[in-house]
Amino acid sequence: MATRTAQVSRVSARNASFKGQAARGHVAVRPAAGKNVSAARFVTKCAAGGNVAEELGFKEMRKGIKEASEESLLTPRFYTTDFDEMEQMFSQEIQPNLDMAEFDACLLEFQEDYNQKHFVRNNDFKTAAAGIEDPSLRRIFIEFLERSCTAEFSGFLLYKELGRRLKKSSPVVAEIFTLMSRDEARHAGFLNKAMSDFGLALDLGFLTKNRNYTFFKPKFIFYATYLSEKIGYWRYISIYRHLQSNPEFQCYPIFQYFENWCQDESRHGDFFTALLKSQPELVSNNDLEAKLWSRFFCLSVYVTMYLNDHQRDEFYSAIGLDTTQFNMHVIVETNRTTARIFPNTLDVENPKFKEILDELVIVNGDLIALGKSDSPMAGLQKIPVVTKFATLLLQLFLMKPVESGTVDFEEQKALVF
Amino acid sequence: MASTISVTNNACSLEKNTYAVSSKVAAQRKQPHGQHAARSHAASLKLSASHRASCLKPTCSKKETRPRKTALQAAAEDVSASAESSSGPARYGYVIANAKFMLHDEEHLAELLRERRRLFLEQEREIDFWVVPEPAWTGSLPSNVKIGKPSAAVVSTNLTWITFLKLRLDKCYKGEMEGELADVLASTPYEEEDLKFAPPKGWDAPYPRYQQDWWKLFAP
Repeated sequence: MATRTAQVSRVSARNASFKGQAARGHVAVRPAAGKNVSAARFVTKCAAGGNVAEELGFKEMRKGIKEASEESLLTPRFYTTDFDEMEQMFSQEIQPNLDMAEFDACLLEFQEDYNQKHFVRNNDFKTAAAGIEDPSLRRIFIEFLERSCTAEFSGFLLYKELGRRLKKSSPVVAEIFTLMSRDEARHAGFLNKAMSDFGLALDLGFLTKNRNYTFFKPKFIFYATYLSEKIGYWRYISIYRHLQSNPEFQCYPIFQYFENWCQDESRHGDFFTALLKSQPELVSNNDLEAKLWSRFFCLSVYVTMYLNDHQRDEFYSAIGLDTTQFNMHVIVETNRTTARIFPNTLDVENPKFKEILDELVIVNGDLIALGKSDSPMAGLQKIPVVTKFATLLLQLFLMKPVESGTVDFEEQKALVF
Repeated sequence: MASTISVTNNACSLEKNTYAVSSKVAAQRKQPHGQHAARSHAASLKLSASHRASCLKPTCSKKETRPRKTALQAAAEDVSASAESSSGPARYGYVIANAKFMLHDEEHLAELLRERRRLFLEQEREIDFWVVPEPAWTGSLPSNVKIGKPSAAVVSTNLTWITFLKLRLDKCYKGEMEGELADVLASTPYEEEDLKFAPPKGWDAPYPRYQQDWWKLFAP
């Protein structure tokens, strides 16, 4: 069984082997055109008969293979970055004073490979998926799995490429990225197998070639990825612990894997903490820009989750969670974690913060409704709603921030713990 | 698959030294409890070069600290000098902070330690890390380090892993020391009640907290 799990990661790594393409001073993570990127292993043939996709309102690329959901501001992205700049940042030749102790510690931790034998499926998956009969619930389960799978796969692509590109200049950092891509491949593969329980898997090879890649400078990759790993940890562990204490909502076995799974997420986040600490200006208490970016990324990550999840209340209530309580818990905890590295965080525990989030949910609902409307006036009607949306976001951003950051950067005579 | 295996082997070879130390440690742990307790007073701990390795500021790099010995420790040393084991002192890394932070607020620490324990049991490795409530050696910490009372530490022979723990926990003090295992793991007497805490303000989770004594699984 362990071999089977390992196969998933190996095959996925091979399937997504790609060649970088030089473009405008950065290199995009894109596969070489025409290369046969087969995702056969990722995709388990759908056993269910009938047209599963149409019944649920999804489009099929081919039998059992779901067409990826349309990309929007709120869907998980694929990232690419300036790999040359990354090389400069972590090359010990260029940066002889780079403190390697934390990187070495991360490497050892990833080499332990805690979850090597964890992602092994059992027969309960198919049965449980078949037991979720309500079409709208099935639809929302598939959406949840697709989003999670896309997000994990996005991490895989980015880390894999970083591991490849940094190999010469910074072998330790490169190996950590490679080991993290191992984890992400396992996660994505496991989720995609779960999707196939519902009769619709993703063609990840196709996605690799055809999805848009968002270019982020390295520092933005660090902020954004740090946050998505840590918020991922808090989401998974909260669902897991909730279901442990309320087993009557345990309707699909994937949740039982979340406890060990999310430790990977948390470790990935720790590595980004080390990356940020190695570039002190990115998280310095004296750097206004660092503070503004920290808050900006916190805000965008929290708001994205809050809006996304509130559009999917049905999913969370199916597993017995109150979406608002779950989201606020995740936001508060992620924010507490983030305060250990970001020099500024948002005052999410201020009741005003949640009030504005709830207003955003309503405005977002109006926007979605207008987006679907056939009325010729819809475009015009959107303008005040978009303005309202932007105003609320700005209000959140401008709330009095909380000073934070790692104790290792604090100037103090006495160390109090 | 091939790459996964080589990675694991690599991890083993990196930790060879750690294994050697931890088997010695295990031998020490089998000593009768009485002796364990008696020797814990003979704290001949050398807290050397306690510094924050991860610190990037030049001001706090490698601060040598003066080992402080209480009168009680000195007296106890004379009494139990003959009881010293022949296996020399080993090197330990630790992170320490107030117990509320370590044992209550940071629930992910519980998960991290359980996960590591699970891995060690699967791979039949000797456990080389412990949770020590109210360590007996807090008096030997550098004078500028203030740890809230009661305190708690995680101690390990794997110094690299301790660096990782510090990276994870951040708001704790990381140091290294040399000494006998029994001394390193010794606690000063404490009330169980003092290690029970109320949840952080505004804590509203869709699940109950871990049991207050989760850490006892990792206590010496």
